[in-house]
Amino acid sequence: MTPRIFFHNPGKDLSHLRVMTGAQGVAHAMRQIDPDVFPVYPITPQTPIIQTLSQFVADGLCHTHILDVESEHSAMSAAIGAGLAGARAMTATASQGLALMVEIIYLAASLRAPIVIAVGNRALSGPINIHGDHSDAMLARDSGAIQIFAESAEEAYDLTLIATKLAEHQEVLLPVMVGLDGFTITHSAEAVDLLPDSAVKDFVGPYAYPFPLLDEKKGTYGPFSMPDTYFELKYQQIESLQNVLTVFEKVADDFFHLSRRSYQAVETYRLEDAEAALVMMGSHAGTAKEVVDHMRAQGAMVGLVEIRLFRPFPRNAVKEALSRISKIAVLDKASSPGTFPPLFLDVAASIDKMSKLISVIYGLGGRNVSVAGLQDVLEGIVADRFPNNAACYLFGNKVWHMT
Amino acid sequence: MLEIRFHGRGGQGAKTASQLLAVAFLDAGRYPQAFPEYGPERSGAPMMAYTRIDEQPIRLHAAIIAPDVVVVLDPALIREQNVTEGLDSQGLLIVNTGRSDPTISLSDVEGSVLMVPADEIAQKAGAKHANTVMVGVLAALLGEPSVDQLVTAVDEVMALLPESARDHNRKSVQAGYTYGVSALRVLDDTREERRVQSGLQSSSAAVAVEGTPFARPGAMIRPDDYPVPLTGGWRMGKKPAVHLDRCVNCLLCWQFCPDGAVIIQGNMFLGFDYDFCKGCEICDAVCPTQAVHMVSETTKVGAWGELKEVPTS
Ligand code: SF4
Ligand code: SF4
Repeated sequence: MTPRIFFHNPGKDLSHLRVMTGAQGVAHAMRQIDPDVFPVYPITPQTPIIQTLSQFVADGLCHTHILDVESEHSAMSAAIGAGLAGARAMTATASQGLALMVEIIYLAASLRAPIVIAVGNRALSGPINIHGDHSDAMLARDSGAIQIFAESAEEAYDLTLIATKLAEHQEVLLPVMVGLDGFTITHSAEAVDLLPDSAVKDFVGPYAYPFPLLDEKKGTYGPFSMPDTYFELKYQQIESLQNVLTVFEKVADDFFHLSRRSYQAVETYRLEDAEAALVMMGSHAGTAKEVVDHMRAQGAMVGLVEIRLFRPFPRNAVKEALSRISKIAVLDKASSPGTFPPLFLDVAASIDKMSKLISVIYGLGGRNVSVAGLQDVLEGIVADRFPNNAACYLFGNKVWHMT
Repeated sequence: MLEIRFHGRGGQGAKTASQLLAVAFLDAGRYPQAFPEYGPERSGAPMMAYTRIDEQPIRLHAAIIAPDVVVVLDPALIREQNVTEGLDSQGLLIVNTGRSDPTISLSDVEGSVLMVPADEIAQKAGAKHANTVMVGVLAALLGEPSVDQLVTAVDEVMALLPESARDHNRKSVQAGYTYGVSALRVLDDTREERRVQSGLQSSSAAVAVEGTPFARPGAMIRPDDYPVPLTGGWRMGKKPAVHLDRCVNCLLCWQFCPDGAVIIQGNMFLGFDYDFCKGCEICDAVCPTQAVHMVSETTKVGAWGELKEVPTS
């Protein structure tokens, strides 16, 4: 037999790329940012982030003080303390760890503490499961934290950089969760193009929290708030999230000038003259792009809307993207027993009511999301197989819905 | 797109093999993706790892269901896993024959099969595991990446290991490559050469699941819900054996065995169930009279592990 050469073309020069997992990519971003304090508690599938970062610290490649705390609740508490004192603080978690952290994420948002939280998105118990879905992120949905979802290892790296600048922007000052799908991204090695260390340092700049605890001015941080002030403070927080949309655009634009890699709150993929489209976020949007290309090649008019910025929800951009699409399937990697899942509700509230909309829950607990399955969703909506507002499930390769 | 599946046991380096190949392929100018499939994370437990290679950046994040190549790092896995699943007549199967089990038989394999005495080759090179040998063989059969690219990849992927271990793995990857090059001569050449187009292969192999298969509410399993996995395959060369006349029937081994692999009748200790004993050595540790001994897998013992003579050690 002769060697089975699989490819027609000679290899390219890819020496600018390195093979690393999403978790390692995030750890590299953190090494380059070099936060002052990193309070953290290990949990699968986040652990390789803190493991890699600890190695960098041990090797003297960055100077972060890694604080081993007794729980995620304490990790977030310590991060708030450090962040408000005037130190750049970050942490990482997943699943049950995020669940334990959520109580304090609400406080971080209310205190306007700009803390970046890398989340290796993993299913919440029960039943206990270590694999990827978005149910942990949805538990923090209403916390007031910004949420961004990455599609690939390189995006996890990029978005950690973007998240830092976004969190610390003077018009934002909010915690940012960077979601990377557990195992599918955290543990998958892919080609990543790291930016030069110095370019990253310039991009994020020095940490400049405007009211540091340690400066001359005295103050009480996190005071008790009676009915006469609570509502106004909450309103102020709600309003602050609205600024994020424009600042995100600005930061993403700066990042584009640095890296030539472009990020939008809402990415549209082959939506031109599409009649049907998927709306989704996270790693499987990559698979969906392949499915869209494949079906387009066969003449189907299909496309994809990928949500990167989930909180604040970019309502206008979603509305604009879907304004000419008559058949839409919103894919949620989380459930909300008793009603429609979160992304579906947000999309439904954003679009004009002319389009036909269905909800598809997929990939729970790390269930494989196959090419055939996503293709069946698109084929199903193109062929009008489901009634409007159908609640569908993608357990395997065929969409299932109760009739 | 080229899709490869590695079968191994926890500790045999299937994940390392998948990453090594990815790093070497990047050096060869291809876009790689490598990911493990996690089940029970324990040494000895069967696991799989995957490598995808393409000429453009890989966006797919789905499991590999129709691999072009399957690499089996441990021949005994053939009894525990369906290693040829999804492999078609154009496929390539590379099996480490190991040392202990040269008589494995593979029924209904359609593609080309190559048996590699990879444990022996690894041992000669001084490497602990056969994984790097198998990657060398695979690269030779594929014609890419080059042996130099593999050697460089060993240094990157094993950067945290001592230099001596890296050296052994560089040698074993080279030895594997050499073996693969000579194997090309004997492998069936009549099959049409396969040229794979980049792009999608929708698989018909995976079944559609509709609705919920569970009749009972709640997260709970009963003994008959699933076939019980034969964890006996997880043993790594040692099994417990007992000298019955030393046994005082305290049943500590039965109490502590994590797999219910100690056979009793009423209150009487009888021996070990090798279909399920995963060789954790806990029974050996807790036995107060040293009636239990861990012995080599090849030691002749009774059906339930009884030893005829007291070992001298
Ligand atoms: S070695 Fe002993 S304790 Fe461990 S599984 Fe086997 S019989 Fe049970
Ligand atoms: S622990 Fe030892 S003595 Fe006790 S029942 Fe087991 S084999 Fe016999």
